[in-house]
Amino acid sequence: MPQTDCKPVADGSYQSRDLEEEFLIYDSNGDQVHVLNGTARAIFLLCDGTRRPVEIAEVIVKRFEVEPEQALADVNETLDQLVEIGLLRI
Amino acid sequence: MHQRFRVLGSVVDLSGPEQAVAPIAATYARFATDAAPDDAPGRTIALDPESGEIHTGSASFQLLPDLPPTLQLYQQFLFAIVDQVDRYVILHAAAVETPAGEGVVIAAPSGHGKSSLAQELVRRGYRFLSDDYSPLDPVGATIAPYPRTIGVVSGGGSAPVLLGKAQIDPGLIRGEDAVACDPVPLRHVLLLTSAKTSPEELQAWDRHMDLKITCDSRHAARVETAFLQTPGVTIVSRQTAGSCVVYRLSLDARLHPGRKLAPVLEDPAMILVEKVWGDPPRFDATPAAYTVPRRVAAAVLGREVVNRRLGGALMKRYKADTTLLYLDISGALKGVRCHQVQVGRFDETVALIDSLVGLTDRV
Repeated sequence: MPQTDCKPVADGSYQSRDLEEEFLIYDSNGDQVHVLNGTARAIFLLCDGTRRPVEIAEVIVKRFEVEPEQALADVNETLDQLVEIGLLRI
Repeated sequence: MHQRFRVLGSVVDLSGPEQAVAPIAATYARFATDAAPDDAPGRTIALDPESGEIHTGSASFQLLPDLPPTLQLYQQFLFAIVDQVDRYVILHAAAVETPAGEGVVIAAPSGHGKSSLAQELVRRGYRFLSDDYSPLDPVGATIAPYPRTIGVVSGGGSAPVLLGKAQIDPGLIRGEDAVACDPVPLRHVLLLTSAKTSPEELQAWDRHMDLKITCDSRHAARVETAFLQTPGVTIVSRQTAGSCVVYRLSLDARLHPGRKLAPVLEDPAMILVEKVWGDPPRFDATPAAYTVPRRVAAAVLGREVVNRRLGGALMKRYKADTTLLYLDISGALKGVRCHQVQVGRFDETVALIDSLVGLTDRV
C-alpha cells in the first residue's frame, strides 16, 4: 500500500495514447503495451503529482458512484500495481 | 511506354512494353503527371523486355517465367510508391466518405468483398476515397483520398483490366462529385470477417496470426530455413506452384516473431505476403456486427499497413519500432467507432454497414 501522504506522478518517459475507454502505455524497455481500463485509467490520469491517494479516491467516488472505502481500496491497489510496473513514481 | 506518377508525394517513373505498363497506367490514371522542373528525384521502375529484367534503380530482378510480367512490374511499382511515403500510414483497406463527411475505413482480407461494398456505397451516395490503399494521417486522424480505380471481378464492361480485375473509375460512372478530393476525418472502422470468425477470435488476433506467403522457388530453401529458425513461427503447409512456393505460416505473437521475421518478409524473393483472417466468407450467411475495442481495431489495422517495410520511409520515421506505429494508429482511433462486420448476403451487408455508419446522417 502506498504511503498515505505520497503524491504519485506518472513517469513521463513513456509513450502513451488515451483512447477514452482505455489508456495505452508503451514500455519500450520491456517491449510491451500496458492497457489501463476504465477505473485504472481514471486513477492514472489523476496522478499528476498534486493529489494524495485519499484525494484521488474522493474523485473516484464522485465519478463512479462507489463507496469511499471501496474507492480508497481500489486506488491503493491500482497505485501499487502501477508503481510496481514502473508507470508511476511516488 | 513511359509514364510518370505522383502518389502521396512520391514520384515514380514507370516504363516498359505497352502491354505491361498500360493496365497499371489506367489503374493509376488519376495520379499520372508530367515531369515538372521542381520535381524531387523519384524512383524509376523499368521493365526491359530484351533482358527480361525489372530495374528499380537500386536492384534488378529477373522476371519469373510463369507469372504475368504486369504483376511483377506492378509489385515493384507499388513498393516504389509506398516506400517513399512517411507522412501517411497506408492501410490495406477501402475507404468512403459518408454524406455527412465522415471517413469510413473498410479493412478486410482479399475476397471479403470490400471493393464491391465500396462500389455499392458510392452508388448509394457515399463518396469514394480509396479501394485498396487508404492513407491514414495519424497526426490529424484523417483519411486522404487515394483515387486508384476499384478492381472488380465482373461487370466491368469495357473498363481496362489489371490482374484479372476490371478497373472501374467511380468518377467516370457516378460523376466527379462521387470522388472525394480532400482528406476527411476518420470516424468509423469496419473490420470485415466471415461469419465463422467470432468477436472473441477477432480479439485474439493480437496473440495469433496466419500468413500466406508466396516466394520465388529458387530461394525457397533459404527462406524456409529462416522460418524454421524464428521462434513463434510454424509452417502449416507448403505447396509448389510453378516457379513459386506458397507457405502458410502460423505466428504466435507471444513469442514476438514479427521483428525477426520482418527482414525475411522483405527479401526480394518474396512475391506476395498476405494476412489470413480466418475462413473465406460465405455470402449466403446472415451478416452481423459487433463493437470492437479501439486497441483491437488498431492492432488489426497495424497488420494491414502497406508501408511498414523496414527499409521504407515510414518505418525509418518510427525507428523501425512497430509498437510506436501501433500507438499512433491507436491514437488516431480516439473517438472512432470500430465494428467487426461478419459479411453475408450482399444487400443485407450493405444495409448493415449503412445503418452503422450512415444513420447519423439522416436523423
